[in-house]
Amino acid sequence: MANLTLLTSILYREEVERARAMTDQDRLLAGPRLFHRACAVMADGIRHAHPDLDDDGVTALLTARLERLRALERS
Amino acid sequence: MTPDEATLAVIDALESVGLRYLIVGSLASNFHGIPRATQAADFVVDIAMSDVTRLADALPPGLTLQRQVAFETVTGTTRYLITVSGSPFVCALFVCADDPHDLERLRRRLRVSILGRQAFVATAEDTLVTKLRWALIARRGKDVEDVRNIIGVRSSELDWGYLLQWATAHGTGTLLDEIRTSIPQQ
Repeated sequence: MANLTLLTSILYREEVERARAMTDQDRLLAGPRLFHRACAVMADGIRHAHPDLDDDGVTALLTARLERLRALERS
Repeated sequence: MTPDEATLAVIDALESVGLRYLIVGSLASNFHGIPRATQAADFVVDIAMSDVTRLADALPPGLTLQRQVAFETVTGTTRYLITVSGSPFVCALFVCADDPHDLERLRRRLRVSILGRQAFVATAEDTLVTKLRWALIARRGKDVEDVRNIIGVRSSELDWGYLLQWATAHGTGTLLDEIRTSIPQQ
């Protein structure tokens, strides 16, 4: 257990150091950029599961899934 | 238009119209802490009804300012939404309220440089004060994580007197202590 706590602590410190090494503008814009990438991966998953959907259909399903996630966060 | 391009375009529009604003929410906590993905770019804006059309006109194609104002039940604030064509990403403009801390964070906002342009961002302390408040009210885990990460990255630079003053006023002092003690020491 002590080893796990130590590992968690080391990993967190590494995360902090990585953030400190980034520029202010990269940290600020990382949020929208990471979201964009996450959406691209989610859209690929939707296309794989629903090959019949066109781009508008994929976007609609992606938006619905994100809305469900938002609702979960609020609940 | 990608979400980061949309964020920069909204900053440009706010600057060109000359409204008092600041970047808040997860963008501000990313700026001061450890970045994470975010579905929205949040701004607090000192905006009157008469400014809405001017701001809408200053936005580039692909961004649409929804004219109807919405009420946020969790935060008790009103906001306008800017939607991004072809993306679920949104920019939210929260109308600056008479709340004492809202006014204070607008006064203390930082002028920073983002990809060759100037923008206003909430200070680390004011981002923490707001995140603590919403963590207490809305019980959102991501607010607690954001507080932890800002303190983890900026701890030695923070104005703890200012932070504790608002934490006491908002009843978030205990939560702040709990989060602070959970952070691994260097």
